[in-house]
Amino acid sequence: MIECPECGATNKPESRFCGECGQPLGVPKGVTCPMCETPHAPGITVCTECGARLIPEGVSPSEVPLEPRVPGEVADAPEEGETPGAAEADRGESEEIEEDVAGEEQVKGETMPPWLRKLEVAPGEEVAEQDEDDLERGELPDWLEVPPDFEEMLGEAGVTSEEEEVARADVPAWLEALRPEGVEDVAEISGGHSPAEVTGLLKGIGGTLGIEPILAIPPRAVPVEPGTPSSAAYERADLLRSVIREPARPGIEVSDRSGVEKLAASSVRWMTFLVLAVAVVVPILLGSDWSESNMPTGAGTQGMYDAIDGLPQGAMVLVSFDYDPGVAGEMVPQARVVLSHLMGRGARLLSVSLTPEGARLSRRVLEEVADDYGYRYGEDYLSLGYVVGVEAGPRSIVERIRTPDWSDFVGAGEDLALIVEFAGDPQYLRLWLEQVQGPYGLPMVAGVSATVDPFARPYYLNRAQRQLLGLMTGLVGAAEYERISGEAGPALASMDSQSVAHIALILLILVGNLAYFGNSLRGRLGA
Amino acid sequence: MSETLAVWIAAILTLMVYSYLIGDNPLYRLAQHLFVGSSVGYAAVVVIHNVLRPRLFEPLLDDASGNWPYFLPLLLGLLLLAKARGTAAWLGNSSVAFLFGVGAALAIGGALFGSFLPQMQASWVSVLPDTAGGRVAAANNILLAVGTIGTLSYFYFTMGVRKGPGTGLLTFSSTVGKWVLLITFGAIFGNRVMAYVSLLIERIYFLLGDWLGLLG
Repeated sequence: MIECPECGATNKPESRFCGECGQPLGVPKGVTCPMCETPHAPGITVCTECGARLIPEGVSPSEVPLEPRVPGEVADAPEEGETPGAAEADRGESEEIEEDVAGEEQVKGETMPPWLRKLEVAPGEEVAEQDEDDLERGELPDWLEVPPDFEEMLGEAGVTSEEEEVARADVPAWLEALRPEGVEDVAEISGGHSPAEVTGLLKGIGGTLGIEPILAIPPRAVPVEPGTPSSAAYERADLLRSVIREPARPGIEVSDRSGVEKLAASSVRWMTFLVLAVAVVVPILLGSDWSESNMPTGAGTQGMYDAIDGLPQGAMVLVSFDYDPGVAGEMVPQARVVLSHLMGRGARLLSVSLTPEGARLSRRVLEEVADDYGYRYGEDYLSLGYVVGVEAGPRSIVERIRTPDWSDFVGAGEDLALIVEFAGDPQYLRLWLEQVQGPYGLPMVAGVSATVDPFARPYYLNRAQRQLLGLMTGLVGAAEYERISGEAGPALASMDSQSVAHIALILLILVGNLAYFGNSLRGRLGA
Repeated sequence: MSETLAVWIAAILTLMVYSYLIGDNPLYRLAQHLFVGSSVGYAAVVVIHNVLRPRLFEPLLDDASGNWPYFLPLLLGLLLLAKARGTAAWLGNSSVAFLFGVGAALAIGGALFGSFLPQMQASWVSVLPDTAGGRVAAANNILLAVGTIGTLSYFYFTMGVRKGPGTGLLTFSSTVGKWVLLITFGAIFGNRVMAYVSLLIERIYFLLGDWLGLLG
């Protein structure tokens, strides 16, 4: 979690801004080197100045590298907070170290030459401590400097001053084992990560005085008990193994189609377009009128006609044009024939639209039909224009009609006799049904696009509650209405083209399926 | 003259849209962008002239003190504009809360009493010929009941895959529901095809009649 520096609120770790005050939370702080105090960006693990290992923030004490054990401290009691088990483990480790140190003392006593013993400080003798901070880089402390009488001491010991001979003769075996063999040049050895000694008994041995090994002790690993894999894990492993062992499949050969093949593939497409175009255009050019006398009538369209035909003279009807230009080809013929019927019955009309385009599309149809029937705007019909098509829109219209502000068009106590909805999208039909028809119990009919029909039909089929008294679907519904009302219009004239186009589509589907199964059968027989 | 020009523009744009039959091309793209741009521009003009001006600005300009409640929607609307700026977006929270609160309340209430409960009641039908109104009506009601139960069981996911006493029946019922859904999708697709054919016919009528004058 990140704490906001401004308000102190707690935020998620990946938050960039405070959820309370909006202040930027900034990048996390970096890591400071414990040796040289050089600041580093997050993610850096080794100091760029001194090479020390960096301990990142948030690391628990158990993950901090172990401190090197001093022989005198190994048998100490466990620290506060340390578990007994860990103390025992440490104790066992310290006993091993003690044994190693004892062995080293023994070897030292056997192999140390007399001249080296002279260099040792006698018990009780104090050595002048030199402040290591005063030393320059590369300078040795006094106690490491070669004494001036070193040659004399070597002579007394009976050895030569040749370093090689001294080193080979007097360096303990365990230390000699660390020296690389066959390397004459020190520079050759010191190419690693820690410098090798260039003089003295430890010549050629690297990493003896560096601090890096102390800090680079890896953290104590937490033992993890092996778990039992689940059967699902075994299944996944088997699946992975089978996939890996599966022989490589040959790649899909992608070959460029020849010009003839391309032409054949596109010609099928164009043949489909051509068939559909001929099916639509030819009946129009021929002026076929077969549907005008033979077309059946659906129950939904008949119900809509009956609902409008049963309106009393001068009844107030709300007509909502909720469609856009994309479905105007279906909806405009519907609106035209229904408006003609309504005006023929002498109904007073209130028009409204829940879509911006619907208001414009309806105005032209409304004015044309009104001219035919001598309707006057403001007296016989009124356009409310566009009302925002959300839940409150239809409800607000019905509520406003009942206010005294509308007394010049709506009589006292008069209510809507019918709602006629033209929906190019199911959501608008549902808005009227759920926000007006249900709560106010007003009778309602609908003319919908063919794509809306499957969503609207359940409301029409709900005979018990009479949610929709009638339902007219698409251009077919408009043609049915024209036929019932005896006014042949553009919808009825289009039905022959519609029928022929449907037949053509069915034939194309049959031919396509026959070709597909024929090819499949031929391939099977060939195999 | 203007009518003729409008017909020509409409005919050319129609042909530009139909040029998509040969593949995506600049003419189709141009017609598409024109349609989207003009629709958005028209919608903006309609909102200003049919909603904001007559229902908000004019009442306030005519009698601001008498129509003081109109300041509340004005304030909420202005606060909604703050959503466009990241640092001041919180100012619009109250407007959004108002919109969502009212919208959700109306939508839930309407859906419950306008669709959900009436449709549940409509699904409670008799499957006996005597009370259903004949054998055909009874068969229709049986089909309705089986389809409804099957479709509901297809969306019943909490039974799990373990074998139990009712698992076989549920599996069979969900299979029936799957086929009912497939038939429904087929009906929706068929209606869509019919709608598109109708729109094609309307455009052909326009091109042959209004534009080329080939129809009497």
